[in-house]
Amino acid sequence: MPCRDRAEEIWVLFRASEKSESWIEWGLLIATCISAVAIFAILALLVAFCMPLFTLGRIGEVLSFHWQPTGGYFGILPMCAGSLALSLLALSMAFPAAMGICTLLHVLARGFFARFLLSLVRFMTAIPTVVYGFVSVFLLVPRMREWLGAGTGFSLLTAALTLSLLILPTIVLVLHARLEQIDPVLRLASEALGLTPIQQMRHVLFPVASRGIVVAAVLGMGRAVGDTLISLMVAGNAPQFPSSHHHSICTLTAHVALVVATDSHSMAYQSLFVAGLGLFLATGLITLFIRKSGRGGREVRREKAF
Amino acid sequence: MEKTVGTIKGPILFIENLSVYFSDNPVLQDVSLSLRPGEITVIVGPSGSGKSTLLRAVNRLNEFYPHCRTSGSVHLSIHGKIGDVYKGFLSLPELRQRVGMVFQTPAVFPFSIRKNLTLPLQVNLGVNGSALTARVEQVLRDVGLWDEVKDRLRDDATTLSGGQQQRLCIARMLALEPAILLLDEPTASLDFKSAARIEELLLNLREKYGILAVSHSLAQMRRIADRLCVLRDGRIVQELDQEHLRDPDAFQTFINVAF
Repeated sequence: MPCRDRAEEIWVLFRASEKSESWIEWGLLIATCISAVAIFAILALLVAFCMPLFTLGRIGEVLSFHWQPTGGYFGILPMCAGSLALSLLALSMAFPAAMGICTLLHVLARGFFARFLLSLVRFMTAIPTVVYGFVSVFLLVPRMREWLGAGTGFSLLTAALTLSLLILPTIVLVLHARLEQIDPVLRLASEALGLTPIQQMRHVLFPVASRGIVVAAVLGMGRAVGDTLISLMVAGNAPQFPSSHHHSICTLTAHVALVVATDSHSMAYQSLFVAGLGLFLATGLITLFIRKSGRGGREVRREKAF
Repeated sequence: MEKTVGTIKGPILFIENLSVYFSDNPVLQDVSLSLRPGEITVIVGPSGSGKSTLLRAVNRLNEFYPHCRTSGSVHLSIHGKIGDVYKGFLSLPELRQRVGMVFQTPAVFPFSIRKNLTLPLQVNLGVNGSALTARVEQVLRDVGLWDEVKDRLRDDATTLSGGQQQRLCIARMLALEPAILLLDEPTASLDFKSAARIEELLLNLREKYGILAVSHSLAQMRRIADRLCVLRDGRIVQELDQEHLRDPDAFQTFINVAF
């Protein structure tokens, strides 16, 4: 019976595909478990290495504003403040620029210029960080020394300018991807209502993409907090509280890189695990925030009533 | 800038020898048409005949699409002044405020019902405060939506039914106090009951506005049209006035010729 044979053949194929899919599912589950275990292992390792500081009551020394290993001061708070100040300053420069570039890409520029601009932004993601740092050391640092008229040029502002270039494509591409998903009918309707391109962007497209804007900014911030090379090469590495834009600063990541390169047993080395734990928790919180905001139902908040 | 040529009576819109090309392909060729206030002119024709392009030529929305070229003229009569919209008679925002447009599928913004109405009013006209509230209520009453939404103005507009969304789009357009309404198959995506409500609304709006609409429904065009224009391959090939629309034989002959 040809029909029956065919049905059996389909059934066999179905069972075979079911079996192979089950292998894929198992493979993915194992990979997920390994990833999760690795992350928890890193957290456990950091906590375990930090524990002596807690048990010996020396955590207060680490969480202080004074870093002078030769004098017995191992405070990492200046580095925490340096990371925060550098990231926020870089974000405050890159974010408006990214909004402007997205406005150009979506409502102002057309054809060749828009394609060229997008290609340029994509190309920026492929430039190694060390190139940004290297160019900055030789081009930007002397200029900043001249313009600021104070300090060596290796400063918070110089590092923030360089870092803003580094995080700019991340913010632009995430935001651009979100804006691309918006139904073109909304743009057409805005146009038909007489809204100018800038008004369309400001009053319709950006509010519709509000969550995408937050995610882009948070990702940019995460990239800025986690970057090591720019701050190591350009920020001056002075472990002091960032009280002025022309002061040299040291970030947590640069601090870890510097100490690890020269030390392995002292209290300074121990303090790195607190720095590592802080960075781990900061990036973890950023990721959680992105996931939480991605799960919400509404992108646009309701405004006040009459 | 087109010069003012004095007060005129009669047509509010004259289209003369209008041709529209996309990437040098002609979509409309030498179309001439006029529209009077208080009149519904319905454009019919097969798919791809250029009906939507004709509507979008009036408010220059074709320019939104790349590689579009337009020749000919589209004169508007606004407050006793007439001018060619393609020769700078009105700025684009003002033109689109004066010539409102509604699309085939309701294009509500994913904001609250109220914000859908207040956004263009605040941004385009700078209306605020009690005047804004009064205008919102008025246009919602005009489209028969006030009783249905007055207690849920803060709700998301996308939670409304398709018919309600389309009436909200019409209200949003009316809020800007246009002179001409362009309706691109406004009932095509709606069920029978919602479509009937929109039709009723259009017949009520006819008193105040000049309406240029596209429709695919023969029954609907007979019910609402004062004048029918058949567009085929980018040219107007036939016109029918209300007298002939009411005559079943003339209408049938017209349909046979048109399609």
